[in-house]
Amino acid sequence: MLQLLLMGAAMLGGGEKENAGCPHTTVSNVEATAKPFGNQECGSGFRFRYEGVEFGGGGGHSSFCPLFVLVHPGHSAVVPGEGSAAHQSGTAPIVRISFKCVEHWLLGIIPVVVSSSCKKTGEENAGSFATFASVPCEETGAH
Amino acid sequence: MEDAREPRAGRRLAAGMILMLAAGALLFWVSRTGDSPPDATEAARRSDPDGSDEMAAREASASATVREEHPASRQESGPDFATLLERLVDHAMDLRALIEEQDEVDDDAVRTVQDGAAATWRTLHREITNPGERALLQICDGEAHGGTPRAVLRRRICVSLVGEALARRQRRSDTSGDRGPLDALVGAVLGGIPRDEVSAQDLGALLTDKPYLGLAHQAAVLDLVTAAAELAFLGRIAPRLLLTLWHNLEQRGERTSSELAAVALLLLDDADPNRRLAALEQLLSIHGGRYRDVALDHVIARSQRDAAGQLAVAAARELPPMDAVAALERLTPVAGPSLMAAFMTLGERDTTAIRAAYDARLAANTNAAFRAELVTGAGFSGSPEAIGMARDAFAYDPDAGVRARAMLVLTAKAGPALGEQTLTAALDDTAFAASAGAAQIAFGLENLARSGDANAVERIGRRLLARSALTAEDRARVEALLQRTLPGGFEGR
Repeated sequence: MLQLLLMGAAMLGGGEKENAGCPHTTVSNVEATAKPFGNQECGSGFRFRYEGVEFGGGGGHSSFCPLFVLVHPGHSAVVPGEGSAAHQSGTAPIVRISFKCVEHWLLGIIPVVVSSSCKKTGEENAGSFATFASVPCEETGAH
Repeated sequence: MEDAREPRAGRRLAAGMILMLAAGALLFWVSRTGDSPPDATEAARRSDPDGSDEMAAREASASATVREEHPASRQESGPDFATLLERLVDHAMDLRALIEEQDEVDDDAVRTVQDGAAATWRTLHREITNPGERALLQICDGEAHGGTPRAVLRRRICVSLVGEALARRQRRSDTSGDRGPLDALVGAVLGGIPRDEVSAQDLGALLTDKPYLGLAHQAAVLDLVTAAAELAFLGRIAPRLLLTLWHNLEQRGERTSSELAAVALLLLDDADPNRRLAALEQLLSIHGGRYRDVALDHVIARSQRDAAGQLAVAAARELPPMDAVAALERLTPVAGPSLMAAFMTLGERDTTAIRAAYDARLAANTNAAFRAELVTGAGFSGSPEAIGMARDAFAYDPDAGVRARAMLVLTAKAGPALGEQTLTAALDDTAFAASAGAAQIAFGLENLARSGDANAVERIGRRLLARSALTAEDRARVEALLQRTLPGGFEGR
């Protein structure tokens, strides 16, 4: 909620720099996040790299294999900041990474997977979100 | 500071006690059944009334006859559980090697290994009393753990044996009406869940969405939900177990819908977030949806973004599609980043309901943010109906944000030809390009690049780079993409 209010204030600050007061907002670097959804119960767990950061779950030998993961790449988010104004500076993609469980069973009557791997099957830009930068209020004439 | 630590220590202690009690009960049970053959047979007959495994009985009737004639001889003459388990692991390792280390799978060799595994499996069920308990003890003792391939396979075999034992006792409980043996095993499985993340996932999966949890496990399941506040790895499993328990109690008539709804209503304001989430999910679907608005109002009125997102995913997964659409529309203004996942979850289930909802909102030109999520949710299922919906949205929706989402669907899921056609149309439509932003087209170009058509990427990329409105960041993004995609790299404009 606070972030929404701050974003609103930031946009206002960016749009009416000459007249509005200083919103006292700045930006903070947020590391890339990856949130998994769904579970296919696959043998090897899941693991992938995005922008050099490795994501995964279960220490490489759990049975958790998501249907897909939504990744928000590293970006700048609005936070309170004395004497500065945050404004939207760009757009970053929301990335969907899909997974499929490939399995081999010991035998039909023995429900044991002897070989399975949670394979990454796709990587797609599915949406986008705003990214922000900040400038000192002195430069905008706001106080 | 001390006060703040005490409840955590208490929860840790509670989780530890659950584990210790379960391990103790198992040790007691298995030592009785293993070390003292006549008593073991008696105990096995109590918990395993027909004294044999059904599959073994089916597939090795001759051996079953011997067993019936000489019940006390089990485990005295044959190999012990550990030996047979290791033999099964040997078979599994052999099969794994055949599958993973050879360029072409040798079907005859695979069949030979599988025949050997089947023989060992039958021997284990013929010779060993209560293999499910013994397997569970291996898991709880950590003997089946470790990251080596052999350890992973040993653990999977143990989990499979426990799952089989649960299913067998459920069948007998259904026939005899006596839940005692089933409840005992389920209680022991619950006790092993807090051990670590791997145990939690493996053992939790054995009980989730299954009929095994019952009235006898209420306290243990609630303890697990409470322990999830301290043990993060329980956060995904414990609420599912509580919902499974409630579902089972309702199905068996041991609790009425109204009673369960009352419990869920009480838990809505519980201090523990996992209990609150379970309560919200319960109210979403219980009693034919009579309490659904209570759950939705609860998170919307409090602007609980995380809870709203989780509730949205649950609605997309559990509710009838049209009801799910209605719930998601209410949650759209408050749900956080999980909202897109909720629509994608629903899109995998039913694109027809999403299409109907989209068409209705488009006709009234209302709720563009919701329309955008509908297009994305259906579109990433990749179904022909969803692609048709995205094409219509890109062509006719008056909102640039909705069209941008449709463009991402078409570049990701509709094949390179339609993807290029879409991006060409986006660049030709100056009003859309200005409104949606060049960045959106660059994101679509990245999707197209993943389809592997380098020529199409170069054509669109060069047009995009020629645009004066491109920001330095977007220009760098497109140039990097061309550098990666074009066979000879990108030499500039």
